Amino acid sequence: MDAVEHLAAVYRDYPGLRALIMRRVRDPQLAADILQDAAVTTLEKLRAGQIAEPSNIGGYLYRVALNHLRNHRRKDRGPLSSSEELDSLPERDNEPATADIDRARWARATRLMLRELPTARDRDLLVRFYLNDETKEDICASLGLSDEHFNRVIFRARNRFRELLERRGYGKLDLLSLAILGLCMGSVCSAMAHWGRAAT
Amino acid sequence: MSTAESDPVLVQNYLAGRLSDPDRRAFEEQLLKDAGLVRQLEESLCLREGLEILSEQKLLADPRAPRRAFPLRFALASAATLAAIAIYLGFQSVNRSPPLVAASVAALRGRSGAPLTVVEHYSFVALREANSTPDLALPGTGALELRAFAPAGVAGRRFRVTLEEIRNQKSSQIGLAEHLAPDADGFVVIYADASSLQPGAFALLVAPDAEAGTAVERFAFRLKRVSDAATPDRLP
Repeated sequence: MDAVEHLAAVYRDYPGLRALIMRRVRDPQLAADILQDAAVTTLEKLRAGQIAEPSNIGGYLYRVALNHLRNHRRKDRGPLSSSEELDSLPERDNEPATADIDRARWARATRLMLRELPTARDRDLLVRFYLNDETKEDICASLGLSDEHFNRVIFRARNRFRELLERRGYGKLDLLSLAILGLCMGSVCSAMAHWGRAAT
Repeated sequence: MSTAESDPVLVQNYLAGRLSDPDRRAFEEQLLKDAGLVRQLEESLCLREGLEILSEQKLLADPRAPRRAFPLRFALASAATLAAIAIYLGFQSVNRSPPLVAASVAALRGRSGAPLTVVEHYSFVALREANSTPDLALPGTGALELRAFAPAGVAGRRFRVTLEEIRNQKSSQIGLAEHLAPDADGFVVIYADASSLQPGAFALLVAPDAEAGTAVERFAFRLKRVSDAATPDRLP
């Protein structure tokens, strides 16, 4: 795997990490630098045989990227691991488009999942836990929830979110509608051809 | 440390930077070994980003609020429904539209669905000296029996007869009957629904079945309303 392929795989396989870095630094160029730096470092370690489980380079990438992020937030971000290799990486002109597609999917799945929650309190729980970074203890105390209830809501929400994300492309109803539409349009064309012949 | 599959709180604490240094290092060690944990991190971050987007769009307060964009699914379902209605009406109309031309008069039906009866008989024979186009009476209702003499030299064959309408010097096929056997006199016969025909120029084409390039007998004629037509020539 060369550096370009590796970086492409990082962008493709870890869009959540990319989104997190982007949110935290709020600068697309800086976010791209951090992610590329992490990708290059990971690739160098991989080539040096220093990653014990090469099949799980994602774990290493995460660790490096989040460390870079922490360093950046402490204002003492170190130099890039390999500026030479980093310079060889191409500009990722198509990255914003794919990122927008990913984000739209996540937003849709999140919205659907939230709509299916039975109470406003459960929705509040998720927002406070995942978005506001509040602790489980604070949330449970504030909303008067038991541990079991908290765990149950999180477990169900995550499962549902996963299901919705995995349901790629069109749903069954959409496909059925398309099939009916195709059949109908074909039949309409046949009927119109018949009328054309029969009309006087 | 066990995987965080059963402990999303640990994952959130890691992402929020709430773990102590030893716990963070332990978590990261686990991260290097556990692909499932990496997936869970990704999932958490995707969910978080989804919430961020909804928050920016002011949709978190009431996720049940209608979306601004017209849903594709609803559009597809609407289009499918409309198409289904259109095809239903189309089939109804087609079912009400019996064939214009048939090999048997019994196959022709009037607009009320009643079988037609033959009201005019016309026979077509190619005559060497013929050089004019006959005018034939077109009744308002009933069936026209159109008999055409089959091309000579193809005894035992079956034929197809095509009825063409000619408008602005352009011919268009409006009826076809195939696999017709000549009668004892050598004529092939088709029937046309008079009520579906408009006055004007027509041609009857007779050719052997499924033999491209073979000679075609062509009989041109004009149909006129009974009151307009000259004395019908029953044998053009």
